[in-house]
Amino acid sequence: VGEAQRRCGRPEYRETLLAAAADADAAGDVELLTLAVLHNTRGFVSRVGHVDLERLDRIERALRRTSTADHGRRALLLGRLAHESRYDGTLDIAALFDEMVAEARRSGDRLVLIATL
Amino acid sequence: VNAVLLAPAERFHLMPSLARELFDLVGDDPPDVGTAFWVAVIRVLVDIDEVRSPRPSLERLNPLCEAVPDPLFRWVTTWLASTVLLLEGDIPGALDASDRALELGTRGGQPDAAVFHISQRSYALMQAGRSDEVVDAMLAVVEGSPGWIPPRLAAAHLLATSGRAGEAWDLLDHLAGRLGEIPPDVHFISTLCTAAQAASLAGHRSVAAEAAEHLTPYRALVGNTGATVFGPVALARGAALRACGRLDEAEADLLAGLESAQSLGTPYAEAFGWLELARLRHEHGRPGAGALARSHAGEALRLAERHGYPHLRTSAQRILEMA
Repeated sequence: VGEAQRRCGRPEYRETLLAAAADADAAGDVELLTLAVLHNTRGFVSRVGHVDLERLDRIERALRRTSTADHGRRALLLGRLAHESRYDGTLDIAALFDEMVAEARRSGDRLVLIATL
Repeated sequence: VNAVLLAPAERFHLMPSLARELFDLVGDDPPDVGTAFWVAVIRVLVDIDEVRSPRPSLERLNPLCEAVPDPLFRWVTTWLASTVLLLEGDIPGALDASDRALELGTRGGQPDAAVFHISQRSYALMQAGRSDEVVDAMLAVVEGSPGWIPPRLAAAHLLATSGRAGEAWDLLDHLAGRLGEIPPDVHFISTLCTAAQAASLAGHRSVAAEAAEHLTPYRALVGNTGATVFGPVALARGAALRACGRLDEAEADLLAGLESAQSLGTPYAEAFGWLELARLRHEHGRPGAGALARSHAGEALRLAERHGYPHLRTSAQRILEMA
């Protein structure tokens, strides 16, 4: 539903996917949690100059649950983290950037590398 | 696409090599229209010798802007279409696209759609010689958010281009020594370009020197974030260096920036470059400088008249009278 709302341009996709991510997290379903996080975006930071704390929370939950060996998923989630943390001021964005690119290369997945670069 | 377009300032130097790698990966087979769109954007923004030949790339961006099916993404492509039109010299088209983008973004619940719209509108009207229509609104933003540097620079630029250089100088003077506080985000480079232009127009040498210093690593890029459009960074830096009296360095940047502007097909940036080069020749005073200054000012005047840039036209005419 959240993905359909986003594709139709309905802003409530944010809340739908936040709830879906929370449910997936509670159920321990990493696959669905990651999907809910990766689809809950307009393509870049949610609001220039601001931090969307709820989106940031879901991204961090997904990263915590993702295996360190799952380089492709980590690269995509780190990309979302880099966007949403841009105005946070507490994270080292440059280090995050380096890790994101390195994980994408380790994945060996052309589509992940294209999306990440 | 993430890395190239949204690199933090500390990693901007990697943009050309990452962009080259991305172009190789995508080749002629982009996985979807969104990727095709972003790759075309990157081709415009990152100046890489090996991909100079496909330039100007603005032409290939316009149909992709229209082809994206997702309404939220259409907001992004529509405001980027507005910047593309402005880069191409179509001010009414840019204003129209910016209005459509505001409508799409508002309908899609985008919280910062109005910020993008106001920034685009200000820059388009500045080019059209109508800075006085928006300068008071921008000054109100400065008053409401006194610690926010980008609108203060935008206001200084608008003041300087509406004949209020003294007020622009005062605004800039509050920022002397503080350009390092500009957030290293997606607007970083274009905000510094705005600082360089405003300081050169207002004659604020210390802010101009500071802007030129900060822009040094990014000379090969194009300053365009969608909200604030300029063109080749080298032109803004060259203008700032000229204002500081560092004429030889300014000449090198202005010539490089002019070549990039001509290659891209950005008439405002090209006219701005010719005008700055004319000022530089006039100030340099070498033998034959007067004839060169007149020739460069003539180029600026021709472009300004054809595309409708009144303040560049007035400045070019002034140099033609003096040189």
